[in-house]
Amino acid sequence: MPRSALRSNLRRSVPPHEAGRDLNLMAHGLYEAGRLIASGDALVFAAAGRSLAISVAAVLLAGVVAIPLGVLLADKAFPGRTLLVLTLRGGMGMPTVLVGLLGFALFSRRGPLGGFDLLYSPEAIAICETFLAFPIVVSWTHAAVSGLDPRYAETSRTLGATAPRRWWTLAKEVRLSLVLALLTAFARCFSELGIAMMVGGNIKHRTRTLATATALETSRGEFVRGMAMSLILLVIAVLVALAAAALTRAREKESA
Amino acid sequence: MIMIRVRDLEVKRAQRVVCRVPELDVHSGELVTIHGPNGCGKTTLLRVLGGLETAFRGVACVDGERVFVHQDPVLFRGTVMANVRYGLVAHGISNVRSRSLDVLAKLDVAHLAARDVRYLSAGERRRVALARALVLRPRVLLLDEPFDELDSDGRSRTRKMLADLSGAAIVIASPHPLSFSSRNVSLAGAAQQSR
Repeated sequence: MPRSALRSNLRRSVPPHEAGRDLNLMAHGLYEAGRLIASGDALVFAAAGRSLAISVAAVLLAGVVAIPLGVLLADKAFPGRTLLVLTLRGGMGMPTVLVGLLGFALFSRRGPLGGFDLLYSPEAIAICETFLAFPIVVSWTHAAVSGLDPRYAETSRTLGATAPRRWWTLAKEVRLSLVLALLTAFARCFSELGIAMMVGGNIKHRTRTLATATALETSRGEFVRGMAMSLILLVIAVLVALAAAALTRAREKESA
Repeated sequence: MIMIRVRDLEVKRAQRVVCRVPELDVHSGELVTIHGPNGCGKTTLLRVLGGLETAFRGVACVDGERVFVHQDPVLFRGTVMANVRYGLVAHGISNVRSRSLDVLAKLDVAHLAARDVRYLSAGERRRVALARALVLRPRVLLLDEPFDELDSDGRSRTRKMLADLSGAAIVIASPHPLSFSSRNVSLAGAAQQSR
């Protein structure tokens, strides 16, 4: 086809009066999103609060087990340790839909944990997100303690500290890295969609999170509300990234 | 009473012998200096005796509580007092504060008790690390070049404190023989053999 004919076809496919419509929609969406946030829209803020609560609970639950395990993996050699560390590192990129699917199988009526009646509850989302956060926190903790000068562990040992006390000392020495690990895990949980959709069910006033609300509003054509939800997600993600950057700077300053 | 007994000790790293000690006995109340050039295995020997190096051939028996102080010791995050208390708390010893302050005073660093360890000079860090070990009054004390970075006052105070540790077996790694030692043992031979 000659080039002039192609150009004329392209011009016909996007009518002049519709050109830039998407950009206008986006600008309008941003404006409306700002207005919704400023007016304190109840649904938007309820979803944001729920997302925060679920993610914080998941990260804290994961941290309670993952931090001691990460320190233990770094301090104690045993057969299969490398394989376990590699498996956990691989788990950092675990697809959220897979975790959601497994969670669904566990919590559904016929599943092994069906008796607890947790499916489509915020608790179910938090439990599944814990498994999402767990490998991140373990791997980061392991990396931080492994990178620590071995003289810390040796000094603790020679001064007569028991293994748990030594692990506590090592964890304190890398505490900024541990906070960074928790922040990273939080960011992953806060923005995930697969788990919240599959085991939460996106139920209004109950399990709707920012991510599921964004997906729902966009699919319903409520572009502005979807944009508002995404903006809040973005703002919190940026705040977490800023906190992480500040911590990294503090850590570099301390080790200098 | 023999506190440390070493027989035919050999430590290898990457197929290379880094420490060889045919025989060494250290008795209670004795201060032995292991001296020799860099790389002759002084630190490795102390690490074996301190239980930090477990891959070796031969016999290395230590009778009693042992504390090893690194050549370039690390201090834990926190204050000087928290560091000196560390071992006492780990051993469940009471009267922690007065014992810690007493040792710090003997090393002339009691005024630093509340200071964050990040703000100490190299010499002060060294004294605090020594205090942290000495406060435990161990039966066996293993010091890797303990006089590095210490001024003359620090050296004489450390010597005095070591003399006060009656009944303890003390092994010091040093590049040169030390005049106040009960015995100076050269590791140069082992170094030459290993090369």
